Amino acid sequence: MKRHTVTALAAGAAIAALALTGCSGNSADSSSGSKGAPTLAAGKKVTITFAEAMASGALKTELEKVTQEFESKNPNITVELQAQPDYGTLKTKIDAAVTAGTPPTIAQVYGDWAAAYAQSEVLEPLTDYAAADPSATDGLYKGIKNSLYIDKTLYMWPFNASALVTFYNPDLLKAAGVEAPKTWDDFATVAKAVSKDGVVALPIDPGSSSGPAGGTTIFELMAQANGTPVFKDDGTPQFDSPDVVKALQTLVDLKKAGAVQTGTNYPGETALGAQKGVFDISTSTSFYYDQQAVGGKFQLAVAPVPAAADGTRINQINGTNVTMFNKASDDQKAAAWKYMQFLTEAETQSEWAQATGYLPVNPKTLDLPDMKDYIAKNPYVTFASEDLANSSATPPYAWVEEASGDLAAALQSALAGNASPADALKDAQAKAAAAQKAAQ
Amino acid sequence: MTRRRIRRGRGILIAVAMIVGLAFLAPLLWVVITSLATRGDVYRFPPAFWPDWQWSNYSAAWSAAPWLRYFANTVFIGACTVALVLATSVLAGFAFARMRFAGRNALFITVLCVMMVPQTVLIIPNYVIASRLHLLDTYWIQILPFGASVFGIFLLRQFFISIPTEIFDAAQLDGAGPLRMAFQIAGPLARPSLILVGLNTFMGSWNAFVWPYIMTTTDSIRPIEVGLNAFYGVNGTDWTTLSAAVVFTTIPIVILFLFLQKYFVTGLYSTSGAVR
Repeated sequence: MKRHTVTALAAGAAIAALALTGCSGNSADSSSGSKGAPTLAAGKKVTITFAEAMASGALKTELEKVTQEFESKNPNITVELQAQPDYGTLKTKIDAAVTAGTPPTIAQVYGDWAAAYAQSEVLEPLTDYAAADPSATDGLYKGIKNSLYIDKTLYMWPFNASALVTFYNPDLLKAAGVEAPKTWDDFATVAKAVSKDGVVALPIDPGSSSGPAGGTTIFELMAQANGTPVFKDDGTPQFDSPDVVKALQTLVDLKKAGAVQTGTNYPGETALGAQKGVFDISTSTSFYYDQQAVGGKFQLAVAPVPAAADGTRINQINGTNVTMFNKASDDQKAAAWKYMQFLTEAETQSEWAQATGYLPVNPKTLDLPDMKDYIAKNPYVTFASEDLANSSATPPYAWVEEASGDLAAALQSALAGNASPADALKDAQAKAAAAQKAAQ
Repeated sequence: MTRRRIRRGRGILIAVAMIVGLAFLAPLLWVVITSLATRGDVYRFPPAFWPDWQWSNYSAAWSAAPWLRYFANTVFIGACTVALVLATSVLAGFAFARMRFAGRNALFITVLCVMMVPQTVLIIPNYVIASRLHLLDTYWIQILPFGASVFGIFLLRQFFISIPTEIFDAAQLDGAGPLRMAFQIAGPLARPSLILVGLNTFMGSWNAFVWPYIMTTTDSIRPIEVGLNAFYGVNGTDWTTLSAAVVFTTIPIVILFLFLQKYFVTGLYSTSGAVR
């Protein structure tokens, strides 16, 4: 569940290049967005490109399938999928293509990437497009809808959304005489109780300065459950607040008690499969891989992510959105918008969710008969989808990626015993604040 | 007594070599075992040391990508790159070793400095250049940028320096020009070094991954490493089929190495002039 790993060097080069691009190349094309949404002339043939990271397994085959369905319904539109192996490479490719003046028509993006592109004036504002059919936007989960805006302008459209859930081994919980934790406080108690005889409650990937990972997200949720999210809504980091320090102290204490272990490349999944880990707190899309890892050795159970002490469910929207580049022709923009809307139609979302494990982005999908059958077999989809209504994504600001790396480095450092939680977070706060200042 | 001591020392050396060899073989063995395991067994602890003979992993891996096309592309790209690298290494290596011109040493150091620049930094400017030259999504973009190797130039220069000057003096007296001396006298003498450079270049080309992904979009011109990505996803990895694919994509390069391994060793020694 590595959120996005891009080397700092490439990111630095890209930001500089994008800044230059924003100052020059695309200004001539940026006017069309503010003049209302373009329409595609009937029968006119057009090809659009979609830079994405759905390059393997079910993600690849399903995206190809729904794209073919779209093309058969819209024979004048061809969608060229440009699959990249991972989000890091995808970002490098988009950065390079934008800098070269040849961006794709649309691309999968995280909010902070989109913020940087919007700052460089290479994105097409979608507000006018969505105004033509407000029900499309209003039909989305509230949390999803909120994640699409940058400074109150609609720049993104949802695509592959997920939320965190708790995968666990019920046999190991039963053997220790405990139940699945309801709150983070419960979790700390249960984690210590089950961690014995070579079994670790929660293996996590803390991430590093080059990028946050699944463990960083867990830490962020714990901080928010304590009362303070690691970023304010305006993207200001608040890493050194007492609630964030307390969350890191909890993780450090759990590590000292042998209930948390650090690793890389999905350590929760690996340990769960080896029956050496009890919990894997990961996105709903990990269900397939966790099932494969377990391989019938026990019945994999899924619960909501632990809540705050007062029972409030706190979750984080993961996954990416789709954005449109203003370099595209009006015909391409109109065709791309049609494709983007097709991707979020209830029927498409149902098919996509069932094949990939991502969550539907609009609640209407859950009412479809085939989706009801799917939910009957995978009940976790209901509570994970509900979390999309009440959760938020990482704030869409250009510096957030670098700041998240600083936070991950602090987590790594404190868990390794190289610094106290307070000192590690103080250092991360200073670096993140500097990154914010530099980007503003 | 002395013979016994020598024999004992030799025995210790062989034992150490075997342990080191096994340590290097262990990951490969692990990949082979994983390629024949069930998905649940991949995560079993303690791990299984005997394969489960799931040959279906191989058929699943084979049908996941157009491997023959990828093989053909990789061989073509690798062969063209090797040919270019050998030509440019001989030319530049000979010039730096045997020709006298102003700024020769400064230029050589500049060439060496290229090795110090991380490739990541260059990806975006390189993409822009490729875009301007209309080389994106072609075979050329996978060959031309790698057509000169700093390692090759350095290795050949070191070798050419070690060749006695009299040979070139005699050739010059017989009317040979610099090109003829480079390709008909120095080049053939540097055969072990050339093979080493060629093998390294071919392996680098075989292992190329991020570059072709960034610079190309069409599957029909992409190399073999790109196919391996079919099993590595943004949310997890299909280890059994990935391992199966790794096994059959690695076999050609291992066979190549087994046939030509002596050149790796002699090529390395040749840089110090120990082997002529």
